[in-house]
Amino acid sequence: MLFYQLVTWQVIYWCSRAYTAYQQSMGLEMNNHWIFNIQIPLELLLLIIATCYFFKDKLSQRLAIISYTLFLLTVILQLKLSGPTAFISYGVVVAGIIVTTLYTLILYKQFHSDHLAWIQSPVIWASTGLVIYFACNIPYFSMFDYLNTKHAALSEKLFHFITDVLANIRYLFLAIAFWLLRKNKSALYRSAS
Amino acid sequence: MTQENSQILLAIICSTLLILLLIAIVIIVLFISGRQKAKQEMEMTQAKLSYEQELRKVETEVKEQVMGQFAHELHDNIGQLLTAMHIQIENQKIDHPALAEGLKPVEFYLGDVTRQLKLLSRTLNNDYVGQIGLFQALHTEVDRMNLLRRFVVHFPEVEGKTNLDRNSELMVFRIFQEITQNALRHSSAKNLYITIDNTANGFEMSVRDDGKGFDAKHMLLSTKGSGLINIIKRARLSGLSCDISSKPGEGTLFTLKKIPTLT
Repeated sequence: MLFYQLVTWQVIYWCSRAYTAYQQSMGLEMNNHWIFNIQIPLELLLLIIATCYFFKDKLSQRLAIISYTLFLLTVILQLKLSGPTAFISYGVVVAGIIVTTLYTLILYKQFHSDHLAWIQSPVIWASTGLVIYFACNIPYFSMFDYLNTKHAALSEKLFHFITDVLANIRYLFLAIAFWLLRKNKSALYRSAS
Repeated sequence: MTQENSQILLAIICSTLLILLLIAIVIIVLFISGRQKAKQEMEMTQAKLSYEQELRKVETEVKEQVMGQFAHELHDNIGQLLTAMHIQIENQKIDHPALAEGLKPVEFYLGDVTRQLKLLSRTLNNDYVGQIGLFQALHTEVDRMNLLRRFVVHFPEVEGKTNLDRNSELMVFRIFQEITQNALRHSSAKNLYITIDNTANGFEMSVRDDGKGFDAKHMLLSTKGSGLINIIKRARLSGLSCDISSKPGEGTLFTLKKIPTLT
């Protein structure tokens, strides 16, 4: 199930990327922020599903559902107030708070229960990467609308300076997590054989 | 860049860095508290383990004491009564020679009972194992088992001394008794094979029967396997490892091995 969700998300993500690249190459001054409005809810949904897989208990799953509902309400409210093509910056901020909270809880649980050393735990690396990305993006995205309308050049600079750097940190940490996962798995196979 | 722009830039970058710092602090705090928790858990486990070891030690000591008393009682009291019975039969044979033929089977069975009682009394006595050594005690126990004629015990002649201390020898002997009792009660075996590998630094004893066997993994996890778990725990208490392997229809193999100590 998770595999198909990931595949669907990837297809949508790469379609939106291709469309954005086409717009940029044509020099069209179009508002393409709405494309992110498709990606962000899907991304948050996948991240919340992952937390549900991790926690398994009903209370945490309820918390995850409530969080996602809150996020959707924020998105709907913003789209109603600013129009359907507006970028869901408030949604991104709410998503940042949700992901930071849930993944800090994962870190807490993992640090208090993991038998592996923290440096070898894929969950700790992946969660740290996600928390850094989502938490540190909150100040920028909370001022995103203001900056975009009043200081567009500065906003673009900040986007590259903050979001791009954080995204690289996030994916670096995720890459380490996946590498550790593979390493641990092959070590397990070696010890079993 | 205008002053307003640079101030906005500074504010956003500073707040981002501040959040990054907070994340770092949170992760460090979680790491430290996690380590402390792990340390506490380890200490608790160790305390629990040493308490359990102490408990088992006391349990074994009490058991040995009771068994010793029982052995003395068998030897001094019941043994004397059997001797008295034997004398009485001899007297009857002298007084009434006609009864001599009829008393022969009684005399035979009485002799058998006296012999078995003597062996049982010896094997129950913990001083006995210490005095004559493990191998001799095992031979005595094997003789006793063979007298019961429930199965044939195959035990090659082993001489010399083990490198185990007195307590460990006693524990090996008691475990052996428990294994043979289990085989007697549950295995329906026809043969019991005992092998001993006694080297300068190591000791290994295996007891194998050709009985009906059981699902060892399942048994050790269920409540029925408490006797087997007890054997393993008692072995560990004396610095030995006990491996039990059995499958339905394939008999049972117990391997008792001395755990090498780090020097």
